[in-house]
Amino acid sequence: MTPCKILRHRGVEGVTIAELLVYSVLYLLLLATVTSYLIFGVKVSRRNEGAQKTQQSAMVVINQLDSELANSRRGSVVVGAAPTHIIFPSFEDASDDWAVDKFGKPFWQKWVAIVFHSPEKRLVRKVEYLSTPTTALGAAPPLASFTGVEKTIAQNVEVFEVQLLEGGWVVEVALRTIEKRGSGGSEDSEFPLTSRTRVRNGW
Amino acid sequence: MSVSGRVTERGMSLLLEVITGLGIFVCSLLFVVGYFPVAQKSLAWSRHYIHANHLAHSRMETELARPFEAVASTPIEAVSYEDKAHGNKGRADFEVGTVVADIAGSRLKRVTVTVAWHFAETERQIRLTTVKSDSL
Repeated sequence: MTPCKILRHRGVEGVTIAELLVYSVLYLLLLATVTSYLIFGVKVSRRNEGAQKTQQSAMVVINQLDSELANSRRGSVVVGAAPTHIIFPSFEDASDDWAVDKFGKPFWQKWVAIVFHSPEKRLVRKVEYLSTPTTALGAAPPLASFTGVEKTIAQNVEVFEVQLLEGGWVVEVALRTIEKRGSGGSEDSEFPLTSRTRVRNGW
Repeated sequence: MSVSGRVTERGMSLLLEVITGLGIFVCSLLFVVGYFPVAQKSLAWSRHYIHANHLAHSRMETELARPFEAVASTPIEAVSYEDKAHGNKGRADFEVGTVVADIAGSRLKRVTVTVAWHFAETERQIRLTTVKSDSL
């Protein structure tokens, strides 16, 4: 290359202005490419993060509800409105343990209420323990009678709908989670998920 | 490499070396950055899969909750979901079908739920199979 020859003639170590300019231009071009790709990467990453959050929170809630409703009792699941809620019995005690009588009937321990606070986009869980665990379950208590501390099980819930199907044997839960970012909804992520669960226990 | 070099020194020029170096760097960068869209596609795939899985599970639960005599094959039904990822609206279309077959010599039925959908120019399918008993 010519610059190198010039240097060799002079016998001086270093680079010429021409070489320096070429390297600088190349460096700037590379820097611009890297920056644009990084910005693109960050955008994609943020998009994925928002979408993943909505997806995960919907799945966690639906899976938890599926599991609890499946172990609940047919005929004792109650769905209500204003606020949207579902009440069902559970045979798990405070330490998630359970017991059955000699016929295999579970001792029902508590009533569980899942309530949707629409303005706060929050799903909460309330628990009301029975004074005595029983195999002969009475009617579900009204939501207002739940005195236990409520625990938030999901946030950023846009839609929560519950309905009983097949004569109360199947519970359908429809959920839509949302992750708000940016202004005007231009960067929001939403994930709808609907699941049906068969209530196994008839006792 | 020395840029001053003696006349007898051999090797590439500095410019050529830098260009080669930058070329390798850019290639590796493109390779790494190429994973961003892959992650995005993977996420979209998982969203479709979750919907399909829940659809199949829900249909199966519904069939199992019905009285034995009422469990029967159903025509293929179209189900759609609309979601949004970082402002971009997406849509997933599924076809759900149930096939019920009597198991000869028994009071049992084989229930098969199939959910099919199209993703990345490929037909995808989830199939759940179970047996429905007269006594359950």
